[in-house]
Amino acid sequence: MSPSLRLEGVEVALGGRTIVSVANMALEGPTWIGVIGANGSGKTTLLRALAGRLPLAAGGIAIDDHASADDRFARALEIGFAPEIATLPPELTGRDLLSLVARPRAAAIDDQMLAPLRVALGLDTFWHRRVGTWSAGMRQRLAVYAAFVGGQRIVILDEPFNWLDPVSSFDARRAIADLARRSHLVVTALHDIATFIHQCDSGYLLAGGRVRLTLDAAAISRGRDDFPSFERQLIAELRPQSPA
Amino acid sequence: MNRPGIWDGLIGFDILRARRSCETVLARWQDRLVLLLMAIVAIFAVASALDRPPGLAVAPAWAALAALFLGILVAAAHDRRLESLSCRSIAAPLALAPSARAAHLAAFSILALILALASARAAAMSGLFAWPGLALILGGWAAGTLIGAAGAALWRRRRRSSSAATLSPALRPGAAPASEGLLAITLRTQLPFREPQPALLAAFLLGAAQAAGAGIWAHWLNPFAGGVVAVTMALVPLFAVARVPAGPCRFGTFAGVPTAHAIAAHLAALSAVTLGALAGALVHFRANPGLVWLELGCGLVALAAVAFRVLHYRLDPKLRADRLMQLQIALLAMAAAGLPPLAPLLVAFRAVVLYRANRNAMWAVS
Repeated sequence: MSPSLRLEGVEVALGGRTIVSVANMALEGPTWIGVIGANGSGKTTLLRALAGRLPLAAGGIAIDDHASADDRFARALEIGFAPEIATLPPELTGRDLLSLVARPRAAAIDDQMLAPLRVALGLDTFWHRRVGTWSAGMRQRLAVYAAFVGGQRIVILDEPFNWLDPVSSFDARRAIADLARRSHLVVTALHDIATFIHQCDSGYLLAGGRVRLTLDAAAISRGRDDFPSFERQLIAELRPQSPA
Repeated sequence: MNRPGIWDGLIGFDILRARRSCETVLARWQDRLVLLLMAIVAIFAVASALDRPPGLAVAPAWAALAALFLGILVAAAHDRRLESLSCRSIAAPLALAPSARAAHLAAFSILALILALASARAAAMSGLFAWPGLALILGGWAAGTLIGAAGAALWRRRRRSSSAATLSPALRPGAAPASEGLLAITLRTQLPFREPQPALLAAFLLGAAQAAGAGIWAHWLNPFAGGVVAVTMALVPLFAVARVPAGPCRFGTFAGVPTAHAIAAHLAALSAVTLGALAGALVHFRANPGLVWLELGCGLVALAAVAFRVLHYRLDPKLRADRLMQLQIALLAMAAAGLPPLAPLLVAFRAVVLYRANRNAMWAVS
């Protein structure tokens, strides 16, 4: 069964204020969907709510056509999510953390499927070391891998290529694209337009907590054909509007 | 859908972290030193306990205070920790599992109950505020804070004047708003609770009910006691104001609440706790001036603090200031356990820790 995520009238509020409001959104995998937007546009809030890290103020989310309403646990269980690297427990080793992530679903790590990603992220030499001694880049690699290791077919990544060196970033992009082509529904928040246009199959532009632009496969394809023009158009959409 | 069992969930996560922390602690000589200091304190504490017969039974006021303490620990620690874990941590699915949440609450409640009863019994048998060593420690703590604050202020002034030469006027750091001043930062970093939870506020109300009777009784028994309570109450608004954000609150129980209301609620809560603690202590001091168990009570509480710090604080090797903090608390424990001559050392460490914390904070924002 293809992984899918369906949002209906989703609203997310922080401190009593609605931060994100998405009328309808249907994400059907396997594919790679990008979410792009300015700082404070609500990307992270939306993704964290999808992954059950934040409650919904209104609306509902259906995972693989099973409505979860506001069951945060169900969403956290069924959607892989890369944690912020600052929250990785420093006293645990990489191996500890990954067994911890796999535990809630009692999932055996699919070595064969994830091997290319693990190799791309170069984690093998760090398994036994405590996370507190890792660099930010290494922690980011672990966080990205942790999103996949639970066995979920829907995976959400927030700025997954931050802190990665060029080689790791290149390899990781290819490995994730491969998973998104074969089996996974991957949703990523991105700031880099080049990555967005060259890796994602479709995407959304968020502004003020709402979807301002939906970019389907055809729009993405046109963007790849004429990247400079597409970039200018996207920047114009992203640029804060000056008051009239 | 597979759901994690209780012991596979958050409790298992905590046990794993504690186990790995212990391994880390035993691997470094600095931490072995702290543990050695703890062992020395423990020897003193056990000797005190064996040397002196148990005193009075737990007084009702202290039992109420223990209940208050229990409420604070359970409500604040459990709720805040779970929310924090479920929002950001890699253990979010574990923290969101209903069975794991129940187990976590039960474990927290049992630990809090044991700690509250032990504290209440030790404090009830000791009496508070009458042992000269305690005054020495509190005075040392305050003096160290002042010295550290003064050193940090001097450092900030020096750094600001040197940075002004290279920054354009628009980029020069301006004066910090009053609510973000040194006092506010110090208080925020020293106090355990940032945003009281509803259950915590309910616990505070229970404390207030106790405080009302006990405070009047203390004043009737000893006008000086009433004076101490009054002075302390005058200091409480400083704590309350410093801990509430300048604008409308964005997070926690007070989210969306105007600042004035938040301050008022916070002030009421802190006042209730302060009154309850002070009045209860003073009343008991009048009734039981023996004060024989003070060392043991303070020592055990400080030991618990050290153990918590060592086992649960971020054991990031880059965070060297934490080792100073551990040593500082160990010294506090030793001083409390009957070695007041160590108090001057405590002053020095207090100053160094605060100075370093402020300096690091300045580096982080500059």
